Amino acid sequence: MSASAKDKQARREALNIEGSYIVQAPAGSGKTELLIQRYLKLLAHVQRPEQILAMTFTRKAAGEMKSRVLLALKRAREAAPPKEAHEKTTWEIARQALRHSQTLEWRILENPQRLKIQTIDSFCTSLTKQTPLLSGMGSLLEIEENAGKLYRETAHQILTQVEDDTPTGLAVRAILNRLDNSKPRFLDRIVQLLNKRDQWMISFFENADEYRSREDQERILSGLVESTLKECHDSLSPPLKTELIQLARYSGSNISATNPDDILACLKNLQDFPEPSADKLKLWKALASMLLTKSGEPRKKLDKSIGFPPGKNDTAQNYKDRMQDILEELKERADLIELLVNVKALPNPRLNDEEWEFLENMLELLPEIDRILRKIFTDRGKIDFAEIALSSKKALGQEMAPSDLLLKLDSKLTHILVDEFQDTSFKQIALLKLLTEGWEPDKGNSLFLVGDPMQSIYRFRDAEVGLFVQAKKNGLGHIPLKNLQLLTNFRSQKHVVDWVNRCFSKILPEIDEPDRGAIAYTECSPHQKESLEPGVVLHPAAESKSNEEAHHVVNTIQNIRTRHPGDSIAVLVQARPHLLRIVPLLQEAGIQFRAEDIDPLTSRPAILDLLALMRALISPLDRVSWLSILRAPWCGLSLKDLHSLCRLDHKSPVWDLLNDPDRFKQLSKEGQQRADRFIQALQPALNLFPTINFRNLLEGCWIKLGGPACIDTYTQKDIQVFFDKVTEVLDGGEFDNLHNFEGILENLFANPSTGEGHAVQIMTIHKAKGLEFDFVLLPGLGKRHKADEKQLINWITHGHNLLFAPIPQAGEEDSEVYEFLKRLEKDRGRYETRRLLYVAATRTKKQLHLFGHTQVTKDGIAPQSPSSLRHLWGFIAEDWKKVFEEIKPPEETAIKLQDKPQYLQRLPLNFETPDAPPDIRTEPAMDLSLEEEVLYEWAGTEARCLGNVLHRLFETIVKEGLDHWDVQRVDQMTPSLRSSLLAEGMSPVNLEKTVEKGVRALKNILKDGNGRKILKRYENEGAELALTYIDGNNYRTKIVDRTYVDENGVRWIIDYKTGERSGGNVEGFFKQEIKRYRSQLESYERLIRLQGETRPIKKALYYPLHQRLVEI
Amino acid sequence: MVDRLTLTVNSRLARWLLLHDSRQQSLDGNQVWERPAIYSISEWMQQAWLQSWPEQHVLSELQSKHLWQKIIREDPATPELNLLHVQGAASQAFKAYQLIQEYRLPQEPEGFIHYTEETLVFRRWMTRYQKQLQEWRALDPAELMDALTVRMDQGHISPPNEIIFHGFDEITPQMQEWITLLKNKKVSIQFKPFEPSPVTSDQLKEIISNKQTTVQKYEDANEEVRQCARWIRSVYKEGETIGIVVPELEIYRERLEREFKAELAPESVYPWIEKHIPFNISLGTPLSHEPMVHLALLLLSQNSKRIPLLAFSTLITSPFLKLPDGEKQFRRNLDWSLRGGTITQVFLPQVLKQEERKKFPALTTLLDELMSWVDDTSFRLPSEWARGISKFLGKVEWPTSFETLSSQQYQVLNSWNECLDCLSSLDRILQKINRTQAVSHLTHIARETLFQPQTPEEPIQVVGLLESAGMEFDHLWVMGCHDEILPPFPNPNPFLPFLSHQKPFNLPHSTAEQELIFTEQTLFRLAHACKHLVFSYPTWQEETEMDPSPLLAPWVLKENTIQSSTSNKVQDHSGFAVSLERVEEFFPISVSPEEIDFIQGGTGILKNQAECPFRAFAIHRLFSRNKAFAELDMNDSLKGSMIHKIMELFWNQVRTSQNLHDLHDSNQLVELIRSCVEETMRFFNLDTERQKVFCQLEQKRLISLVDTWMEYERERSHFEVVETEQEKTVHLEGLPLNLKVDRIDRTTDGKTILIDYKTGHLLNLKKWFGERLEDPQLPMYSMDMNADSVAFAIIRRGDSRYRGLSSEENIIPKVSSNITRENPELKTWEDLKDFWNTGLKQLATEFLRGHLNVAPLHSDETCKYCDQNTLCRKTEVLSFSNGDKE
Repeated sequence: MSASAKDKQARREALNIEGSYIVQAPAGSGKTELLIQRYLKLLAHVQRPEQILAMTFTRKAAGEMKSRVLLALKRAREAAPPKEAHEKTTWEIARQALRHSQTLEWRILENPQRLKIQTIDSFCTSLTKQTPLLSGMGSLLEIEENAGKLYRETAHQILTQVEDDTPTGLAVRAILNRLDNSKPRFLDRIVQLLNKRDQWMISFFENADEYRSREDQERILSGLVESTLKECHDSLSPPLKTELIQLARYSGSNISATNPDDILACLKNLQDFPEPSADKLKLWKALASMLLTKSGEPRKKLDKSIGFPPGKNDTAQNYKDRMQDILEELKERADLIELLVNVKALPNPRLNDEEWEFLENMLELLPEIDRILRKIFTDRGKIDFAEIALSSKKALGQEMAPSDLLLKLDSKLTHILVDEFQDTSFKQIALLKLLTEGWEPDKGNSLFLVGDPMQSIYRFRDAEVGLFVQAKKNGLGHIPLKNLQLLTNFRSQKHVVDWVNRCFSKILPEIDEPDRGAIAYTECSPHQKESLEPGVVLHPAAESKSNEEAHHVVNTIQNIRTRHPGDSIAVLVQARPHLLRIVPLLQEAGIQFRAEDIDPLTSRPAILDLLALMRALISPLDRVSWLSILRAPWCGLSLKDLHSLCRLDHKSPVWDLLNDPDRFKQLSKEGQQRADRFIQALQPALNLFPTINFRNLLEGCWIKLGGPACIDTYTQKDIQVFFDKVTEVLDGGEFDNLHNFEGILENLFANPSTGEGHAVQIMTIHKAKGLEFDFVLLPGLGKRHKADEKQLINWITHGHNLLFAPIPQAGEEDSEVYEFLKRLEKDRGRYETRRLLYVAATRTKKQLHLFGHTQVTKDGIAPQSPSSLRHLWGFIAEDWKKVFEEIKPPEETAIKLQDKPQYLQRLPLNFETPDAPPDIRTEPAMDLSLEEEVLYEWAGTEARCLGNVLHRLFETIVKEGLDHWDVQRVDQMTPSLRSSLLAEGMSPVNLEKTVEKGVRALKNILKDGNGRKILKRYENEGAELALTYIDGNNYRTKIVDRTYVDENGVRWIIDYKTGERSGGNVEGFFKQEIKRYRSQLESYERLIRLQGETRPIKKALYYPLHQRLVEI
Repeated sequence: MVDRLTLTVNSRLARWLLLHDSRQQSLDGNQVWERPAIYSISEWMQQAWLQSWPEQHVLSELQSKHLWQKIIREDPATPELNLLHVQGAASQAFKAYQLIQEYRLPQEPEGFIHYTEETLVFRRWMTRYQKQLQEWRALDPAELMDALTVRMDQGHISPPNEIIFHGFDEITPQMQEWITLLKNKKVSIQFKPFEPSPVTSDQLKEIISNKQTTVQKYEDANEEVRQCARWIRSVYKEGETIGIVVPELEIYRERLEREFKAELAPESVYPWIEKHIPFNISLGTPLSHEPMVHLALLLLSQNSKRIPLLAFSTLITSPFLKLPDGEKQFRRNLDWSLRGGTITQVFLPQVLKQEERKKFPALTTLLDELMSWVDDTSFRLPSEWARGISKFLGKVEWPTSFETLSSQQYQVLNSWNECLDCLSSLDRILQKINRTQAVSHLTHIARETLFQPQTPEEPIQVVGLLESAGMEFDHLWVMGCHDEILPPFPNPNPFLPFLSHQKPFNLPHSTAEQELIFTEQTLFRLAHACKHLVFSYPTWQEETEMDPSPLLAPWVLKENTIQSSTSNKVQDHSGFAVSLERVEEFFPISVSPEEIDFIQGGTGILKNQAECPFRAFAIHRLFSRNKAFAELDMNDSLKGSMIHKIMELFWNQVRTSQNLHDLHDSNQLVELIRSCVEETMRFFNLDTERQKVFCQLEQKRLISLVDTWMEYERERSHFEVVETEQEKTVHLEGLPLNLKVDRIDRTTDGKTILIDYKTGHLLNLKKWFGERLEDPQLPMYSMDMNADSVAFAIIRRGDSRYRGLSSEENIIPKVSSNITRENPELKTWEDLKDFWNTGLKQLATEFLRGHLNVAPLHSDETCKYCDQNTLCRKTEVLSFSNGDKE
């Protein structure tokens, strides 16, 4: 069957909603469409759309998939089917889905939230929201996407425990000891551990019993060793084995005669070929050493050092020849060589005492790290994504069957689809297992996993490509999965596909090897015809000259632009620094580009100017920053002027120097004018830090200085990013971070300039995943990759087991086990780098361009190691060398900067900050307010509470009528007074005392003649009378406690004062009070007059606790 | 009795209606009038309840939430659950209880136990909660309406004649019961603008179409806000109102405020100018983020006499604490002097010397008060703590004097006082607590308190979706209408069973269906409330492409009709559109004789000159320096200094290799090393008190490191240490350089060896052979001393050895005399010295002549740790030089 026929069949099968599948879909095979079709198909069969969960890797991918599903549903409303066959299939399925949704009245198009197409993080978030207790969250805290700071804080706290006489303290001391007692290194390592914690935490805590003992660790280690042995065992043919036994015995006995301590000596009694078990490791290693040299090459020379003495007799010659044959055969078998190399490096699967002691300490420490981290989360009110994942797993993993729980939360899932399954992690697998736990065969549930293990490139985010292989083999949990394989590449033209097939079948392994993260290459067949020739263009360079390569890249882009206008072009890089030189050149050449998250923000001079301005405002003594802002384009002092300003003074604040007339005079004439403008601009702002919003201050200064005039349109958005970050820091209340703003900026990138439409796309290969371009350029292939840092403990997954190895003592050799794990880790990295190149290459539709440099070695040119080009070298070397020969090395054009003048860019001397445009003209706004409160030093709540209650009480008496109030009634009021005071926020401590005071006040007023007069009913009266009047632009309301017209026709205005003067000069106190409240009462009088009162008015304060009416 | 009562859904609307009423009164010519009865429903209920003198009191929301917290913390299951966010759980429980009351949900246990862990546990909490309420004779805020209904029914509260309910999008069953009672009591009931009821999608479509609504799409939220601000300018007419309704106001608030200010009151970008802001925004920011409050909380949260340097620096330079002019400079210098080293904490008792205490009384008070604050270990009631806090702040004169406060700061202070009220109201719930707990509660209260300066009501109003209820505008712009917010994701309360409670009772936010209905209703209400209507949404949110709300999709335009190009922002002003001038700078700037006397430095000057002439100029002639706050004490540079000191002490005593051997043979070596290490640790004043164990580890490390090193020294042939840490000044081409040689050895045959200790990174001898001498230190010494060998003593764990060069072999083991290997042109030791001599002189000359170009020797590497990166303008300077081809 042809590839396309096979694909068709697979695609049909994939739409069978009763089956569960794992689909391997290589680059360009149209898997998104397949996913969408299946999703729509499922949609047409479920009761509620929420029953289907489609999980994607990124928010972006989720958004796109959702949009495409909705688009398909919208298109399905059209009656006429589309022409393209695959579109037609989609259209038909979508129509079914749409009909189904209409029948069930889902209103799906108006309510797209019902489509559960999400990232795993967002799924987990919603799950933990629903299970605040099971998940241990309590309630969702703010999610911190860059949790590094929280980790660092955790590390600091762990470090302080070094002083403690606890197991943790012991562990911390042990670690410090290994790290040469270095605090910075300690912090770094713990942060590293936390960065990766969802890798070890799940396994660690769930299966703690399986990891905690030395035996367990050694058992896992043996397992790992044996799996390598087994692979080797399996790839040796029986005849080869038989032959090897004899040769080994021969070599062994020769060696043991002369050198019984030699590693090969143990072979002398070899009878059977060794089994692949750990106790035979010695024999295996001996065999490998017999065949391979120290550097891992098949032996060329046979001599007595390996037990093959010179052929004095026939036997010797015979053995030598036979050995020679085997070595010849071996040369052709790269896979076997590699396996043997691996065997040679296998460790003795035993931990030595010291290692184990350290490991044990570490294992002791891990739970403590978790505890402290959680405490930090609580204190800071923030969590990371890992915590959400761990929590939701916890929620699902408790007591009840997860599916029951989901049912009760109305989130029952019947179908799950997972995209990009090659990048799945342990936590994701664990989650999927839980989600599908209650599923029974033939109950209408299905699982659909799609991915391309050849494109697994997210190891740094915990992706474990081995999990894909496992799922293919064994299904997921108890769900068996049928394997489907797509083979057609719809994206790239034939020349590209052919090149990719040839290249990657050579540099990717032939068989899957999960422990080493190795994934075998599967060939694709092209759907597109051949077009541009060649499909892949090589651009070798002699040596590392970033500038030169960058020019080359830009030239290539210009060429493509000319010849293929309208085609899309992408520049993909493995690491951002590879682009440092390219971006400015593109800008210079006027080529529009969109570089997402590529250019560090600090590469922009305008950003550095702002940073300096920021520091200068914060620290008057920070001379670097103050000089920087004097030199920035908005001021533009020459170095000569800066020198005149600072010479012979190494400590005064620059601002003081500027304001020193003698120094000022030393500046050049122009410098004086510039400095003067600078002083005028900053003067008003200078002392405002830290009393006002810092962003506003900074931005104000920046504008006043003329900052906006100094930037181009490219930079405008970067400035925005900078200010937004300041805002974010301030909004989070993290004022301390202003002092380390550069550290924050380090993780920010300049905005992609959105020359929309037809811009060259620049991005990392990781970002390019899932995208396609006509032309793809890969620069910097010859650059050396950074080496991995050492980890505190190295851990590695083996199947579902976790193996730890301790970091070696500072300055000492790595232990065997550590070395071994490091090697496995390195292998995983190596394979992933190659897959990354696969991803990059397969983005291409028409033509791929490779750029890189080599070094000259004694064997001709060769790329540095490790570098991407080195990875490709096994395939590309010959072609590369050929092209290299054809290119003439460019002439040396070393530039001597010393001889060149330097230029300064700045605003012209006559620049003036423009005046602000006028404000919008609105009518005067009106305010609505109560009487102005007098500010007081806070001194407890009793007085206020009692005052409020008494005011209300007197109002009630007036309303109800004085007749209803006698002593008995007053006594009955106690419970009400108590509750009123509590309602005002009073503490129960002084409650009874205050209640008693209240009762006293009430009794006083009722007993007092004046008091009774006040509370009596009158015509024309008011209690708590709220009067609103116009006070300028303010509708002010004043509340008159009590007013009435007495029998003499006098209008009274009374203000209750519920305070009590204890002891001392009471009369003097009242005098003071009159003074204090006169204007307040006079204002009441005015209002009442304004209302039309013509009667005489008397004003008074009434003190119930003193039974005293004080007229004013 | 009031005749007509207006009850609004929130206090924002009450204020809005009051304003309109007042405006009408003044239009009618009135000067004073009685305030009409317009209240938010919750305020009115509170008052009505209190005025009936009941014996039960209603808890405040804060009290209720704290009670929930307490119950949750005390629940037997809680320790096991190990909750991250108890406050959040309490909030949710509070809301769940509210929903139970409002929607008349079944409360009996049967309804709960069949369900999830959360609902089960909640049910248990609730029982405790209700029991506590009963004990206290208290009501939950959500029970007030029922209590009020009962009391009204019993005649304790007389209803008004007429009630107008304003702005209610929904009438809960609880409220419905009350309304029924009111109707029975013959109260006339009205709803404004209309009685809430579900709308059909057709009704919604119709009203949107009738308003000639447009849906504008913008690139991102920034652009959306910017364009909206310009639109306001273009449509505003006197006498009209404009409403900006923002569903996600908390996300938009900051940029809305800023962009609107910048566009509508352009001069307000200068915060030192007090400007009238011509719009209102209905959402505040956490009080704790107000600089003044932040400082108070920073002060209060100090916990020991050792306080972090950054906090110390902030406190002593803060204008919110008493800071007399006479102390400013002293404090600033004190702050600066502590930075940049390895100090991370300040020990309060040691800050001031005795004589300084008298000179700087305000600082003395601050430090003394702070020390007695951190010493307070008592347990007290929250209200007592509130008093204590107020007193403490008073003593350090926070927030300076009341008279100098701006009106906003005045309001902040008021708001702070309310926080103290709140803290005081928690006595019964929290009981006696310690200082740290009190401060933590206060901090939480301040964080939850949204501060919003009180401003006049402007015709331009920015409000959230819920707050917009009942308001009417001439123009309305609804912002951020993307498909993830209209309708939003459902967000059911986790403590109420889903199948028996949430779904059948149609609780708000419970299901997607419910959210859709509610959204349609809201949009209908909005469309109803204005004459002209604009919706907008951003196309991009970070990296995600957004779709418009599906409910608005039919009206999305291809081309925006509102796309005003004129900006009134200062920064968009045409006056800024000038081109920069590019001037050539005149170098060199030579060093004058008086400057020479002022320049202080050692070979660092030459090193900087070699690596980048500009750096040498900036550091040594402009004295351009800055200082960072150290993250760690006892960092690597301190450790390096310690090794130097130990070696100095050691060799000053031991002097010769013979002595070394003797010491070793008599087993006294380690003892001597130990005493040197101890003395060194004392010398550097290590924090042996609080970091006792760490210092012991460090001591052990140093002893073993030095001991190992001495093994290596013993392998050398006989030598004598003639100098340690010798300092002197030499002149190179007239440039004075202060040299300090770590050590000078002399062998028996009279050879001189210069030794430099290294504890850090790997080093590269290539730096002695480059065109520019990057590592001039030892070459410089060797010039001066006429040495026969120069070597780095690399003292590191696992890697202790000498590296360097000699005039002949075996002066020091493994320090080779093979100079040609490094540079084929140099044959002999003398050649090398000549080479160095020339190189050094060249650097000195360059420096003195004032060559100061920005020319980093290895572009990226040289600049990596350079702190002059803002001053040198490298990016510009270098790109001009390179691109200068035209």
